[in-house]
Amino acid sequence: MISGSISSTGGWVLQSNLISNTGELVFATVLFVGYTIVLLYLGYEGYRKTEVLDDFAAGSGRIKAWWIGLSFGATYASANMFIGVPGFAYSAGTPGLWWIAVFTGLPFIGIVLIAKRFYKFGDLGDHRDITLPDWLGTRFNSPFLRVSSGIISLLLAFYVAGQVIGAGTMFERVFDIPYLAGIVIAAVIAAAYVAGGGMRSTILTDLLQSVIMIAIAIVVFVSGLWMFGGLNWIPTVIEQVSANGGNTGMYTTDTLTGLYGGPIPVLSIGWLAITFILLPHLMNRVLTVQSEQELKEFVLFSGIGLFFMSAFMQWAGLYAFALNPNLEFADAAVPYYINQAFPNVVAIIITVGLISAILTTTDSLLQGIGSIIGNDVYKYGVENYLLNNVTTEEILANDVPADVEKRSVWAARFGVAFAALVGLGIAYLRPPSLTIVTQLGITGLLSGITAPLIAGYYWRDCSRRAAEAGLIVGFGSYVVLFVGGIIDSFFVTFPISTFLSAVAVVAVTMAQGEDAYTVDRWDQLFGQPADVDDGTTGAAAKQSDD
Amino acid sequence: MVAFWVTVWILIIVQMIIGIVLMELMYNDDDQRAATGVS
Repeated sequence: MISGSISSTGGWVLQSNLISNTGELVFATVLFVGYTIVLLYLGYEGYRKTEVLDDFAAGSGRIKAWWIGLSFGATYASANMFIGVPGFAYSAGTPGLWWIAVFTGLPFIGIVLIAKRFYKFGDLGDHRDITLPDWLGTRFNSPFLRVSSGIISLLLAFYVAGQVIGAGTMFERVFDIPYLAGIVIAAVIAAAYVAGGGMRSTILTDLLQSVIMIAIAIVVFVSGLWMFGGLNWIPTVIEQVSANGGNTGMYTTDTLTGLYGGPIPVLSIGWLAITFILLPHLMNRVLTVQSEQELKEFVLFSGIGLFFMSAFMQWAGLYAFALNPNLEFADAAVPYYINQAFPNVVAIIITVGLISAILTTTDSLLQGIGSIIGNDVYKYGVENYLLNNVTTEEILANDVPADVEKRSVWAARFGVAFAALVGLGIAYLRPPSLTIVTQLGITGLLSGITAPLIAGYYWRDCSRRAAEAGLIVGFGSYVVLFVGGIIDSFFVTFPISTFLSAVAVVAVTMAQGEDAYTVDRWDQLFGQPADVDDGTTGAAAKQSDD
Repeated sequence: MVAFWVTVWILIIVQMIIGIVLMELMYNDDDQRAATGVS
């Protein structure tokens, strides 16, 4: 029997009852408990090496660049790519393949273009930026940018809720554990190893999970060989999808899946695919790389991870439709197909692997939110701006009093627990407006930060007020247009709000002229441009490695 | 006319190649610095 419900974000797992006898239940339980012990051990290993907030937010001990690259790919792909998006392919047919056409290569190109400069700007002098709000706040010397982008980022707790809902549903179907217990188990496990070991534990567990996810993606894709009669399996699948009444064209015609309805929706998805990497829990991976020379390795393995984890799982949706076009819910496509294509024991292993896919995004979100609470909301917002226990100069010079630092680390840990609790609460209540609040934290946040971030990168003269205006106009217009109901698709609202934000950034900079601080910070990195003649002695270009 | 699924694979591979070419162009000086130890 297949049952369950459709989630509001990317489609969550509905599971046919996989376990048919006690032996299999024992196997599944031992496998999952063993896996959890490994995760908690990695959490403990990270905990031992986490002393200051930098450790929590950007990693401690030796962390190899290729681990971070694969972690980036795994965090980006997430359970969405493994469960929800194949569900779209099940209902939309071959137009669903547009998703992998854009979500594989575009984020790779994006991270190649962005990583180097983001890293360099984040690593000036003694201070290393450790979160995205930190980067924005330091680049523009703007407490407003720091704190407000930090607070908007907390909305990512709703994204956590979506992940936890998926995990709870899977536990219910595979292990017969009640939904409430399942969501608690998922949230507690992820929060435990993240609160303990911060970024180090997140990267190590993601590394393990990415290996599992790559294996699953390849095995599921290749299973077409034996399920659909040999080396010619893809044309066979397409014919069968067509025979079953599915769409094998290029675009959808059904408005329910209007996501792939034509070139403009596809371009909007493409815009989301490339800007998605700017989300705090992904960009902080760049700041975790331990030297500039390792950036290439990081970027290369991000590409490898993105390729294997994004390009293959969609096919499971088409395979499922080719076998059975009558599933009650599209989200059941992947679990249904796995049940058909593999012996039960293998299917159980793959299902535990799917749970690990959910955890890679959950842990990164919790770690990202925790770091923002510890650094931007607490260390800067409370200890610095409110209580004056530390000054901005002291933080930038890495000269923070030990007690302030200790409290900040614990604030970050508390932040992880807080985000997990909020995520749990929402997963329990399942508000009907989950999509809206989740998208506020994703496309809403991106509408506010994309233009200031890009301007911060490439435009020496972009002023602080312009960046702040960009955030207000971008996020504000998104709230008015999407939450206010003027445009009912976040895919359409998002490019519009980003455009308005960019207009604000340009207009305010043109109106205001040069901003001394941000120009100076730019010159520290790149040296004063040759054509600038303002009478000051130019800051020497900083050599970028030592 | 090429089947759509073939087009998708071509798009993916072209994007990955573009990414690799950009990576080689933008990150090669790091390789050389690492190899020679020169800053």
